[in-house]
Parts: sequence; structure tokens; C-alpha cells
Amino acid sequence: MRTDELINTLVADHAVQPRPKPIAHGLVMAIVGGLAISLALFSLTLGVRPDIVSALGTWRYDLKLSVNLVLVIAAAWVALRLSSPTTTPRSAMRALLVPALLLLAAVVYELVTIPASAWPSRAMGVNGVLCFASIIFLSVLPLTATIYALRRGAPTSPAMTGAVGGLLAGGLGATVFAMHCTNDSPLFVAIWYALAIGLVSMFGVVVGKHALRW
Amino acid sequence: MEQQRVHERDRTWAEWMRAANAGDEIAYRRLLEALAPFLGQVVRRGLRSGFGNCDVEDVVQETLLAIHLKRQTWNEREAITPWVTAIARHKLIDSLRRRGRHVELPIDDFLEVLPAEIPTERLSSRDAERLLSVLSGRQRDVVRAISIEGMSAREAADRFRISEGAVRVALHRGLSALAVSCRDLDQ
Repeated sequence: MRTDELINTLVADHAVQPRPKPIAHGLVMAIVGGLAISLALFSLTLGVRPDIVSALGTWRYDLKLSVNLVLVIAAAWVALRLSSPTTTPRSAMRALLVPALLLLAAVVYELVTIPASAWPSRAMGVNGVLCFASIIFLSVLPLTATIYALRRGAPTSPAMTGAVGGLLAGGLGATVFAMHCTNDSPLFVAIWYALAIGLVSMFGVVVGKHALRW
Repeated sequence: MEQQRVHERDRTWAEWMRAANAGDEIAYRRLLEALAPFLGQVVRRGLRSGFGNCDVEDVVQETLLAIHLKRQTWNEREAITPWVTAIARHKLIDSLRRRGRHVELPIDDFLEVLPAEIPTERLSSRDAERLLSVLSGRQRDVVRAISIEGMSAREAADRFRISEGAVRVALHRGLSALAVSCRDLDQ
């Protein structure tokens, strides 16, 4: 094929949509859409915990929610940066330290303020396995929407971008699940939530490796 | 002096791309026509650094296609040359990898390249018909009419008796499919 023929074609195609929508636009839609579907599934299956109003006033609950929300925001920011071909992945990933350090600080605070004998029961909580499974269940559709939105990007590392997309989706699923879950200790969050989100992130790697190639 | 020329050139290209984003078709054509020889140099230089071999024009065309399909990833406030070379680098690495090599190209090598006149006709090793054969019927007809026969979307719509909108959809889907199939063609 001749290069000038290709250029003719590209120019003809350009006329259709001179300025394609930025990726941020698609990603926000994916987050809003993914969140809406997860919330719908959530209200059909698990439902909000009965003591939500009083829980909202406790630091542990608020922190659990905040850590997940901060993770969603940080991951969205990083995923957008990774979607540009000029970004070096290492520097872009730094924003993910914010939710990680927030949780770490809460864990340290919890360990210092409660007696060591209470650690295991706080860490194991009431039903860790349900929590783990529910977060994954609530993250699947957000992950699909996120990867779909990121397909318009041009990441130098599809696998890493997929991983961050997985963190975003896992964070969304966890934020929704947090409204049901009565285990508010940072120790519980650092184990069960992190495990579930980590697994969703691994799904993201597997899917992203193929879906985000360009 | 040379750096100044590189800087000037980047400003011109960025200006064209911004104009293109605002709907200026002529600016977009100018940009792509200016990028084609530049990309040829970038690719040749990348290959000269001692890494394998492949058809330069194949990579140039894949890069132009990727620049087109991923143009939303360029930030209007940033320089355009690093973005263009990053895409060329990605495509070159991808192309060499398909031939079974593991490669690491230093990105800095690419930035200082100046355009030179390329005397020969720019033709990739891939046969257009073979490339188009991966497309489904309507997409193939539309892409062929517009690329090889140089028709406008309006003329193609008249010929195939479909709406102009349908021509555009077929063209866009066809281009996306071509970008995907380029990866598999060499294998």
C-alpha cells in the first residue's frame, strides 16, 4: 500500500470526528456506569447494613470508605496518565501510594490503640470470605467498563495499565461493598479488602495484556 | 541552530494538529504528509542502532495509522514530537518483536532527527489488496474506494448506495480493524 493512499484515508476518516473525545471522558462514564450497575446488583443481593447511620459517624467506617474512594481516584488518575505513550510508568504510579499510606497509617493506629489480644478477632472479622467474594462480584462489571474505556488510550505498558484499571474497578466494588460490611477495623480492610482488590487487579493484568495492546 | 530548527518544526506540527482538532482537514493532511518522511527517518535510525530489520515503510504506515487512531492521547499544551516518536518507537518495537526479538530502544535517540527529502516513492511491502482482504465486504469496498481510488465519502456513498454516515462508520471500523490485523499479517 502506498503511504499517500493511507494518508488520504486517514484524512477522510478525520473529517468524521475531528476531535475525538478525551479518554478521561470515557473513563468517567465507565466509573459512573460501573458504579450504578454495582449499586443495583448490591441492592438486589446484599443491601445496606442496618446500622449505617450510626456507623457513618465512626472513624473506622469513614476511613474504610475513604481509603476505597481515594484508591478509585488515584487509580483513575494513574490509568489516565499511563494511557499516554509518552508517560514513563514508574513516575505515574506514585499517586497510588496515597491510598496505601492512608491505610497503613490506620493499621498502625489500630495496632497501637487496641490490645494485642484483640488483633486476631479484628483482623479475621465476621465473614472475610463473603467480603472477598462480594468485592470481586461487584467489581467485574466496573472492570469491564474500565478496560473498555482505556482501550482508547495508547499505553506503553498494557499489562500495567490493566493492573491499575483493576485497582480502580476493585476500589469501586469495595466502596459499594463497604456499605454492607460490618467489619470496620483497618486490620480487616488491610487483609480482606486488599486481597480482593489485588485479585481484581490481577484480572486487569490478564485482560489488559490483550485488550489494551495497540 | 539545529535544536532551534527542531523546536520550530515542533511548533508548526503542533499548530497543525491543533487546527486539525478544530476541524481543519487541510492542516491534518499537511501534518501527516510532513510526518511520513520524518517517521521514515526515525524508524531507519532505530534500526541502525543495531536492532534487527524490517520494512521501514510498513512501520511508518502502522505508526501513521496509530497516530490517527490514538490522536486523543496527545495533549494540546504539550510538544508533539515526543508524542509522535513515542508512538513510532512503540510500533517499531512491536514490529521487531513479532519477528521474535526482544528489544529496548533508547528513546532519546529519536528526538533529534531532522527531516530530509526522501526521493523514492513511499510504498510498503504489503500488498494493498492483501491488507484489505482482512476486512469484511462493505468495509473493504469503502476503504478501497477512499484510499486507493481517492474518492470522497460522498462519492463512495453514491457508488455503494448507502448514506454518507454509513460510509464513515464503515471507514472508521475498517481502519481500526486494519490496525489490529497489521500485527498478525507478518506472522
